[in-house]
Amino acid sequence: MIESAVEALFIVLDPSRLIYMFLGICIGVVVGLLPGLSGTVGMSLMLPFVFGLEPYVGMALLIGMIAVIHTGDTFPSILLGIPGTSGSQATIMDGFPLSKKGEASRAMGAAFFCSMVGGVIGGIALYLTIPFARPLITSFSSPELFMLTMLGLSMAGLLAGKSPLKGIISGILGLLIGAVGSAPAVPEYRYTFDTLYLTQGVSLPVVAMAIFAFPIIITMLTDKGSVSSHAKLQSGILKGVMDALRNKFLVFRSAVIGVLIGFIPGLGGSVVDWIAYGAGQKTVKDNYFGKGDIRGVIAPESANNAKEGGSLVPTLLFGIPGSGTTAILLGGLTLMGLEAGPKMLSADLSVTLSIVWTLVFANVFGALLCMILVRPISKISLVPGEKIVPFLLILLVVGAYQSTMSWGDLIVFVIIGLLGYVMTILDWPRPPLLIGFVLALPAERYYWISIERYGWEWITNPIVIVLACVIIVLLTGGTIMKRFSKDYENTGGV
Amino acid sequence: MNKDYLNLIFSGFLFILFTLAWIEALTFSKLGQFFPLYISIAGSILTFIYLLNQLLIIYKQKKREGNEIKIPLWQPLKYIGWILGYLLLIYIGGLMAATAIFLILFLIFESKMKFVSAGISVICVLIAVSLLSSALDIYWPTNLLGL
Repeated sequence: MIESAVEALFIVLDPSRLIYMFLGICIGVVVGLLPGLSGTVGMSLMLPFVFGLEPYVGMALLIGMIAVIHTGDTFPSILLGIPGTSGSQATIMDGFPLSKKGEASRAMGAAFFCSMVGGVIGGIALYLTIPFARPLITSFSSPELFMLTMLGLSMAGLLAGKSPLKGIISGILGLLIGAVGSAPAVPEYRYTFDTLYLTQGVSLPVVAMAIFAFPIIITMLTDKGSVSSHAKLQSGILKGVMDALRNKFLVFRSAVIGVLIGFIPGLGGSVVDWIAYGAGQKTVKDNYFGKGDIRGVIAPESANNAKEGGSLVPTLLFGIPGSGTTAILLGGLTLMGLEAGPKMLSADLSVTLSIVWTLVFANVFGALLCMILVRPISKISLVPGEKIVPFLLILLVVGAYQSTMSWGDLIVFVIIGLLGYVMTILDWPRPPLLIGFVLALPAERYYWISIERYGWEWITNPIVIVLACVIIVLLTGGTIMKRFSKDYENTGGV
Repeated sequence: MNKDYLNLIFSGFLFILFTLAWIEALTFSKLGQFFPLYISIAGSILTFIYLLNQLLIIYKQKKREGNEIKIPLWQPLKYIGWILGYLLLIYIGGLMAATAIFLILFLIFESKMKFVSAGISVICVLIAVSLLSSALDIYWPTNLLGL
């Protein structure tokens, strides 16, 4: 295995292949930078070009792009408070407040460094799991997947802030919006009101952009200011890197969460950042998450890049795509004459290992490229709102429309955007809505399959019980820890 | 407008929304209804509790008189109007024409940019949008003027 890995390293380092990897990295950063464009869009753009390419070259291009999308998407999340892709939603929570304080460079320094470390951990995880991936993946069936969606939904409660009731209502509203469209258990359309557009459900990029971006563009205009309240940007890339190094265990923990969630097909990258953020919020002492805590940037950014390595395990070894991006990647493999499955561990092992190396290198180079771009791009946060908003609005309209290329996208963008704006001015938490929306379909689907297949017996499944305990600990752990530390303070530990 | 009253209106709106979703869910088949039915029932009950709580807060505040937080509505409505206007322009004249008109008007009247700078910005944006549209194969819908 080690010999094959060394051999694959030399294959990847071939200059002609490196050029394709750099091309993939550049495209990935641009796709991440533009709000509304996701990995699926990037992959669709690249797919025609890989036809007939040598597998190592084609993979360098595709994996180079996939690896860095969640690095590039940090720019709009931190600078403008708009998620670059659905995997960078949680970064906004603390990244944007840091940007407002003039500490965008620090936040981005930490984010890019964590993305790099997370990505490398994801690559290593992919390498290490190759020998025993099969039992790991097959141990997850619908009851465990349902409990994982519940774990994601419990984050809605954690992110509710001062008013848990508002957070829960917001999460339920997200679940209700997610229920629009076709029912997973029966051929029936729900809440479509006889409109063709709603039969496919509401698109995630449109909801994510509307709920976060729409309120921000209105607020930027009414406040008549720039994103950063400070006239001068503080330089702080190195400071951000040091912050990440100081929180090395948080980086590692979050990356492991990212890898584990990536392993599970169907859960998707849209929740990994929230789960890592919620777990960080509960485990980091003396935190002020949501108010510009650098650790609130470190946790999701470590997880979302690490997820890519994990998600490649079921895709490459079993041909099970966990997301739209990996589904197109499977198409790319076919175009290059490869076949996902056990063959990737025998006859095509060198290709699999070259993917591992590409993932590692792309994350390192992608993070370095983004760090170089921090200074010029950070200046966006100094531009007055009324000068940047019209351009931003056009970008958002194009981003929203490309989702399904229907007028419905634009109408939903405005309606959900107005809802998001009202929620913002009335201090209703918006992240729970998005988490509810993202998890609505998988929650219903896995619950239904579990009941149909196992009745109520699935509740006694050991993994289900462990996951239920994790949810309870996450929801109550913070309160218990706080009480303990208060007692400790009061009694002096006596 | 008073923030508490606005919150009350919003909670009322959510309550009506959840209740309508509940009623609508009753028309779905048994397998299709359990998820939306239960979440809309939960949503209705929780928003009703929140609504009562809000009413209580407003009642107590009225007794104390003061500490009212006002939310300005005119300015946000003006900018929401700009966004809706842009979409209306797309519907009438298509994306390119709408973008040019919206951008030049906004940059001159709201951003107080000079005409020349605004014009250059518009040209750059139109080029960028055309490139992006062709790269992503975006087909904009037909508009009223057929442009």
